[in-house]
Amino acid sequence: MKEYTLGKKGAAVVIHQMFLVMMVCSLFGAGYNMRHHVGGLGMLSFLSITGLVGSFVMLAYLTGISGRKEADDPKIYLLGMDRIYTDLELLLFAGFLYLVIYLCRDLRRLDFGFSGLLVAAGTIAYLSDAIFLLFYLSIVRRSKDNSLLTHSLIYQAVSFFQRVQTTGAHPVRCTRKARERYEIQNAIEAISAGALDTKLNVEEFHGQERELAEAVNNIRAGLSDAVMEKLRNERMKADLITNVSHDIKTPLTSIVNYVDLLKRENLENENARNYIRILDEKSQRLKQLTEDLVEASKISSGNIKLDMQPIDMVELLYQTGGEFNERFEARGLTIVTKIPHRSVMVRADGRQLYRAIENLYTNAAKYALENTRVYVELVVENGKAVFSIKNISKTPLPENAEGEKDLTARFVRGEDSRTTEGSGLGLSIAKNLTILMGGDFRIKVDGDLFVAAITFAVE
Amino acid sequence: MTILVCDDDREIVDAIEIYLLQEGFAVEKAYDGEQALEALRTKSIDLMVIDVMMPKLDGIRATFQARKTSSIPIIILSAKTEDADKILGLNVGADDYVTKPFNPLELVARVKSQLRRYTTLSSPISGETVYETGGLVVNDDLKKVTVDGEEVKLTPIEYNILLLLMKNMGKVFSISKIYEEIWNEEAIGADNTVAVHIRHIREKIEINPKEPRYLKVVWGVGYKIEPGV
Repeated sequence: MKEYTLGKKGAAVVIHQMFLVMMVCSLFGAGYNMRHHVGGLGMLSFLSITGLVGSFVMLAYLTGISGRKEADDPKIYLLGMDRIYTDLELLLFAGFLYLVIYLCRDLRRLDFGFSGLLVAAGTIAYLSDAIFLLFYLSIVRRSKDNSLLTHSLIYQAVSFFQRVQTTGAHPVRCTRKARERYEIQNAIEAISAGALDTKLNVEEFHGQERELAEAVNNIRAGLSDAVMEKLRNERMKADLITNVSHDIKTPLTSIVNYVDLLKRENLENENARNYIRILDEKSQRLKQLTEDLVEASKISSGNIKLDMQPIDMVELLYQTGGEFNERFEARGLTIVTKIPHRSVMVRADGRQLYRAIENLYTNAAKYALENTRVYVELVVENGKAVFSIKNISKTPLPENAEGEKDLTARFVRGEDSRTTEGSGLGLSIAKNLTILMGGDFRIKVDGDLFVAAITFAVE
Repeated sequence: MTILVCDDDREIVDAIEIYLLQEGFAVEKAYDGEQALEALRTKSIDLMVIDVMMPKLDGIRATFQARKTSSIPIIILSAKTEDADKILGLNVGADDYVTKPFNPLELVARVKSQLRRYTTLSSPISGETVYETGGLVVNDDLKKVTVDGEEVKLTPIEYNILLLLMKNMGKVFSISKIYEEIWNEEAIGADNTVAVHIRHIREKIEINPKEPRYLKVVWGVGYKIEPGV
């Protein structure tokens, strides 16, 4: 790897200046000799040409390596003085040139001796060249960095006015500070909306804004870690529940099977038959419970694949009605449906939407007071399809005031005794499924009236 | 008919044995995948019921191995209820997948169904109008519906709905479309009628109407008959 160390660059500068001083001194020497008709012109012109060639070669070399650190590294390293605006720098350089010319204007009138002339010319050449190099190499580095034009006051001013004109915003909002603040604000909004991969490039910010940008990045990283952690925990919980339920299912299979075999034994004893009936009911409930538990944890951890399709809610409700009519009839419940006579298309996973609505129907079939009406409604308003099911609860529902019981929380049921059928997971599953598909799920309790509503945007 | 039952839980194997013996089957028992493969090699087996999670050789691998030499029906029995598990089981060569805890009567029904399909030669007499998928056959000349060789009694409306779906196998029909085709009337404000008929058909032709194999519900779209079950 070829390195361009400071030593190399310094040596190149020194050699360049030696050649330059040599050239200037020989030129002045030649001039002096001509005026005083002394010979040695050949030698002096040779020296001045060598100086000219040498200094240009070294300048070319310096131009090549300026701003670079290694031959393989394409990055351009700017120095402190490169941060001065280009036009300001050029102005400074022009001022300096003027100063040199101004100072040298009377030089010819002074009567130096030969050696005095050489010393004066050499010194002036050396100093001017040093300052020239400073400016020249700075310009070279900028053009390599493509910031020669953009990093100038004129460019900044023009683009500022352009921004004012095109955006029509107040000029104050078009300054760099305002722009950077605006970017930070955008990033914060994106992060709070959940785009946790929003990252600000700190290098592009200045001063206070840079500190802000760094802080925003830190908050984002912390938040992202926390969310990932939570997601991982939910997954682990879901996995744990799945594994435990696998382990429960195997002995449960034996219980279910042997209870069924006992049932077929035609036992004489009335008590024994009654005990077996209880065992049968409870083992069936345990089975339902394990299945619901796995489903609920899978859905609440979002560990479920959705196949989103255009779905006709009207069709779905008739299909669901067909599945349930006999279960409702068995408990003397009448379904009153108010459904539009045309398709209502929403975007959802048909199977999962059915499961959500099925859970609401099951809920009504289980907990509605016998011989009452259950109202099923689908209304379209403001581009939203609202499905609702209303029923009269057979047991008093929890108060909807303070100390409100969230019926959609897992394992919460309308009544506190846990003897009835049902796992207390139905509404939780329905709610989580609906939300997962981008819908809205609401429950309202008014006295004994229980209302559940699912809302989806109409396609 | 000899059924091989394989599960590492001996009580489950014993219980299944009792049910199968009651139905007049002979039963061979195995308690891990290797024993099952051994039994397949040395004995004459007509159908295998096998658990997935077992020591030594699990049910999936055992099924895969068994399929290299045998074409008997294989029913996988598993506590794993994920769709992915079912698909894996069916893909390695199982014919059916029953989840634990299972209803013993359903398992027996599935065993019988698989055996009937395996043994009955389903070659319809040419010239007859016959539609079939898997073990479901609708003979429109005799107006007869059979599932795995057993006749199923349908009402005329149920028969017409099933025939419509069988004729257009794989195509999804909405409730109003079915209504228009069967009743020859425009469906103004359909209701549950069609859905109820469909459920009745399902209860008659499916072993487990909640997990239908033939008459599938496409929720929010309609109904269809699954081709090539």
